Amino acid sequence: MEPITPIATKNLFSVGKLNGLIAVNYITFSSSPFSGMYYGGTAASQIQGIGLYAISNINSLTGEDLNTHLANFYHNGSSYLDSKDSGTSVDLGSYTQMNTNQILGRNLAAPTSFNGLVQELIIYSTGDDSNNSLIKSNINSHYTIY
Amino acid sequence: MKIGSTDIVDCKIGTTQVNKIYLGSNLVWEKASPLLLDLYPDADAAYSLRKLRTAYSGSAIRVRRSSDNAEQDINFVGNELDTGSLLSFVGAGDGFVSIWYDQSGSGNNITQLTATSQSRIVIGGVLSVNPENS
Repeated sequence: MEPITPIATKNLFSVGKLNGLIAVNYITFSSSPFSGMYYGGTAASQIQGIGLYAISNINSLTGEDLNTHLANFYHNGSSYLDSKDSGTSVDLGSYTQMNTNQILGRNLAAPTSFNGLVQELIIYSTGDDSNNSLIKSNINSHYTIY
Repeated sequence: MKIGSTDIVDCKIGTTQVNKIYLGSNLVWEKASPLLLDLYPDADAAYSLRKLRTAYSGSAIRVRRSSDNAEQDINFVGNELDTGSLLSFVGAGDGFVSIWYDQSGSGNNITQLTATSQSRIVIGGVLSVNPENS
């Protein structure tokens, strides 16, 4: 089982909550006690949230709201994180590559961590922008997020 | 609907696709809608508590229960997580996810084998509620 290797282009979709009093059928991640999951059992690639986290630049869907969020991160020369719950879009600026330890989770050394609930995570190695809206629409038709 | 023991997965009259079959006014068969990865394949990895690809025949997650640390794969019923089997297996305690299976076909399962670091999906015998708010 090989971990997904860092490449220049990624396209990620995730469904989750930043907080939730009642959140049936989600997997709950917590910073205390720490919980995370790994590709191939390696600590370098944990998934712990629905935003994009890095040590020096924490970009995520913020706010302790109770909404279900659809987050789409794509990297196609520039970087972008799009939240479709309230139409919020966040330009992440210039990332030259997207490492697996930055995918939808914080780095182990980061000062903050994600407390929330995740329901779905899909990762493509292509940055086909034309499919983004179609994939988001498909996800929304199932979860009714926005 | 079955013919003998075979499920009907597709139906055409000549070259015309049939999407629904009625007996009288009763709908007895409906062509299944394509799932997300049927429409948009080639994902590197895909994890969900719903089924994402029609041809995927594996489990959704592997769960460890707190009562005796036994583990069991939890499958799908139709296209949704088999929460009945999940709750039955876990019982009154907590259920922790040790493997979230990759439905893409790439075999990129994500794992957490350290019990103290596993994420919960069942808390106190009920489907997950954020522990920070419970």
